[in-house]
Amino acid sequence: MITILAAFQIPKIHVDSSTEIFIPQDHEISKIDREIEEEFGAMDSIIMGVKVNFGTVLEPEVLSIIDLITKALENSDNIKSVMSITNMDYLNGTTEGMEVIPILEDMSPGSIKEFKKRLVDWNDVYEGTFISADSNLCAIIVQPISGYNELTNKAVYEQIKELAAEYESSNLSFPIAGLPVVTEEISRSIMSDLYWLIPAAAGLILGILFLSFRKLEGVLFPLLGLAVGVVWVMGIIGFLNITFTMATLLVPVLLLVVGSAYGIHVMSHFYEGISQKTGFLDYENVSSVIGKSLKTTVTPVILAGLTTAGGFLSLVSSPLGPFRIFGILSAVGVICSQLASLVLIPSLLRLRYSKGIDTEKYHKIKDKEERNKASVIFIILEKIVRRRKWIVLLISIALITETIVLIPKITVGTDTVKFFTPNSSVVKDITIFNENLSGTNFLSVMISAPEPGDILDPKFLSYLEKFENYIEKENANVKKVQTVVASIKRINKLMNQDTIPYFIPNLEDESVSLDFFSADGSFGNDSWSLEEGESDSLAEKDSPEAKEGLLSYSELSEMLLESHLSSGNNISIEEFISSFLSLENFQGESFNEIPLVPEKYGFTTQEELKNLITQYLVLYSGNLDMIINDSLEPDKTLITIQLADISQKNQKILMNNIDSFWNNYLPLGWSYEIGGGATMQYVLSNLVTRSQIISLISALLVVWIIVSAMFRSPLAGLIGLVPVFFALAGIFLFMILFQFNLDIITSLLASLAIGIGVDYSIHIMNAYKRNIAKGNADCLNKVYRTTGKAVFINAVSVAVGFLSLTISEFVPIRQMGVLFAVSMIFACLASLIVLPIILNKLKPRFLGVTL
Amino acid sequence: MKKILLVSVLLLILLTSLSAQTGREIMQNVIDAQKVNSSAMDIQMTLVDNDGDTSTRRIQTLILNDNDLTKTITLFLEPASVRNTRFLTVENDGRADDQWIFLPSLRKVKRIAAGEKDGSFMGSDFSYSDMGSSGSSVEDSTQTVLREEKYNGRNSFVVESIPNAGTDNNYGKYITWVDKSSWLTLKVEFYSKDGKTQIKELNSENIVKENSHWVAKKITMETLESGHKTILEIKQVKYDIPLNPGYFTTTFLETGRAK
Repeated sequence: MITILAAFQIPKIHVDSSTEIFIPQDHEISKIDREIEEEFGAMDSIIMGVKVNFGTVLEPEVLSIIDLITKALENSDNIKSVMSITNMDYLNGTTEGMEVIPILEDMSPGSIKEFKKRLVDWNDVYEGTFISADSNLCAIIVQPISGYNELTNKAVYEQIKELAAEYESSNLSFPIAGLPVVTEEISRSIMSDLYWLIPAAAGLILGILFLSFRKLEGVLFPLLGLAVGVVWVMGIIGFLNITFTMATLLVPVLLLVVGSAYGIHVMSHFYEGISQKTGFLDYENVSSVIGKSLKTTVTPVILAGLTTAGGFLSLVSSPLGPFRIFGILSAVGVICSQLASLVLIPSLLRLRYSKGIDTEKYHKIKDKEERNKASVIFIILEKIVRRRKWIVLLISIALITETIVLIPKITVGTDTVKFFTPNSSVVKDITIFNENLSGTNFLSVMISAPEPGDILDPKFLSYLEKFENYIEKENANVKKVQTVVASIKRINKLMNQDTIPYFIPNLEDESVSLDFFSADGSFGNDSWSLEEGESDSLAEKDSPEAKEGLLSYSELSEMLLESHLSSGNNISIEEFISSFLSLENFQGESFNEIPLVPEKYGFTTQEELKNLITQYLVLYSGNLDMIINDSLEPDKTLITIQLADISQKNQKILMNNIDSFWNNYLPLGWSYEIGGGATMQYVLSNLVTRSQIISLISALLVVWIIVSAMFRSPLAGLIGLVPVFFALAGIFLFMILFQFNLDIITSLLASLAIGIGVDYSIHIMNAYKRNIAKGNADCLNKVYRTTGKAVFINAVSVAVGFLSLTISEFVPIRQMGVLFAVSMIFACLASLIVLPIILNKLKPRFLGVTL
Repeated sequence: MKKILLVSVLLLILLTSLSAQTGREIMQNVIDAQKVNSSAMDIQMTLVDNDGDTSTRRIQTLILNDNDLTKTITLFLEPASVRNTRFLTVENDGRADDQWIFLPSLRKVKRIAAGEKDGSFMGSDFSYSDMGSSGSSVEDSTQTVLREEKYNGRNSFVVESIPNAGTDNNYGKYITWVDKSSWLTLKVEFYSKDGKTQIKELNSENIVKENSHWVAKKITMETLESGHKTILEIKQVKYDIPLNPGYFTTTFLETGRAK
């Protein structure tokens, strides 16, 4: 009944595949990102690439397709803005001033020719972001409307995929990237994993059960118990509206694998009980066998469950929300599976054998043969324990020391792109963008000034330009830094084409300050009369015309020399040409700068320069709302840094560079904050490391306390942890060896391995204690034949069960499957070899005084 | 009984003839009601972000209607950094408007052309095309009267306008509440290009008569997604006053003096 009710809750499960969900809402980075989004709009764009195999994207037919796609997206639902090389603005200088025009006016050959010139002319804005240097790839940047995130992102992504399919040809391909795409692909993979992983794990367990019991009910009953446990937990997830994340995805599989052990115990004790009987047993006798076998299983199953649940529960100490939920859910799940095994299986057995049972079927010689085969392994193990103990101890110490030394070598990082296999379309597409454009990872720096308008302070703007150069030069992973500087420099250049630097204006010509409604006339009274006949002509310029005409050879060589001297030796051709042109203010080139020297502009103060820049914004401010927070008096500006890779190491260098730059240059009252997707991942990686350390320590502590309490000895707790240390060594060594990242998935493993691995110690130590209590001091052989075998089978079945994770679509989940299996084998071997050596050597009192 | 029937029929005819006023006629009335020979306005714009922080802009405009083509001078007064910036727009028949700007710090008049009509006007929630009254024609869209209702205590028509295919428009649909007595718009809902999502909302208040012209002295435009809004208050207004054409020249832009 409960199961059916629980099953009805499952469809309510809500999947969130973002990595942001792992970051606490009150964490600094979440606050910063919310603040940036409030000021500048959503930062996560979907980038649709248009890539040609032959020629360039500037061919008319390709441009037409880019234009069609851009327009289709512009006119569609859920999209806030679309930017591509066909609909960008271009700031054009004219003889009389400047114009803001579309970079591509139409598809005529003349317009396309002009368009190509414009791309080159303002390439620091277009190249890298919208078009690759070799013109083989261009990007259409699509910003979905914010607010409805998941659904809108999905709809927009689907529409882009449809457009891509429509125009795809032998020469054209359309890579798609961006954080919303990655998130959407993770969502899809989680659903697909849910669909496949559970049946795969169930299938493997089915195989193990069949191999162990070779009976239909031996397979069916434990499986039913497991299914009930899993359905209960999934029901709880649905009922309590717990968001399904990549971490919660593991819960059902984990329960199937871990829970199968309980079913195996109950069933094997039942079969053992039956095999000890002879003849036909009626219902009452069967019932009594079930009762007796249950009695012997209850304690070890509950104890094992307790330590496992304890290990899982230790994850509540993690700073990551989904980990805490994962810990609670899996702990609850373990208890549910236990209950199902201890209650459901006996009831099912009673039902199945309500008409009695023929015990003859259970006395098979085959079993004995198998027992003999298995015991060969234990004979070898016994020899190792008795004759090679020093070698074993030396190897053990070496292994543990090696692990501790190598742990710092584990790479930490939750790069969601690395969740996918290198062959997946997500990774392939992102690689295309990273190799040809400025990358798909974004880091944002928001600078806040104390007063409205301060952002336009020329001094600050010059620092901003310095910052661009510094960050691009010092950080190999930075491909591009975008700030408000490019637009201001451009307008300054265009508006000053006819300005002569350092020209002193005639201040008498300065116009009066106007107010049409002021008291001294105009509209304050009605004394106006319509006057006739004013010609509408453009006034003559104040400043003299710029020099025109051809240069003489000597003038030219003098200028070349001057330009060379002023720009130094280590400059590029572009810089040299720019420096050369600026000597004569060719097309405003000497004003292609942030105005910084008041005298050059005919001013005396910095304030006047700031006013000049503000007035530029009257012309163009509408287009800068993603960079400055107010069109005339901004007190916040956004710097966007595009990154090709977001490895923890490079990120740390970048963060340090940003910190040291702004700490040095920002005056009192100014502040800066670092946010954006790349920072989010950086913070997450740091949290994962912290989570790993905290949850590891608390899991060890919890398990130590439980085992110590069980044996009433702190030493017992310590000895019980030995196989756990081996499990951890196995995990970390494999991570280093195969270069697995410590990320949001793999970092869950340590606490789980501790919780599951300690069971083996408990079983072995319990068996020792039992045997010693019976007066059998040298009990290794006995322990091996009974409990040792059970531990071995248990470990193998758990390891095999976890290997089902290797069919996941996610790389870290696959890695987790491998690491789980490794840790179980390590824990099992340590329990069977190292633990007995230690117990024999120390002869601890908690096992019994007679030892 | 017959009498009652007759009255009912008459009433019905009367009602149908009233509501027979088409959407196009209503919107034409709205445009006509705003036509003046000249006007001078002193406008304060208050920009309010979703945190409630405000910043103020003040402009003055002079508009002259010359043979159905308008000339506009916009003078910026606040913030102080852009004081004395002057803007001249001259509407042309059959081609794009001419625009000049005078930047006081540059001390020069520059001819400018802004291609983008959906760009924000001085960072407000109004785009340049929202601000420009010129050029709007009922021919460019198809209007339907949705209903008649009382809005803010005023009897109004609710008219839906959908821009015709091929016309350059920033919105996919407008729904306008038109005051029956003044032909002023009381409220406008602006929809996205697909016509499904409302993007912005305009509300008019303080409707008064000045120089025999109706005017809404307070207009609020809100961008729904960001919660950002702009309150436009007309501090002073004069209609049909004699205006020196010398204002509408580049000479005035540059010198601040109308010869």
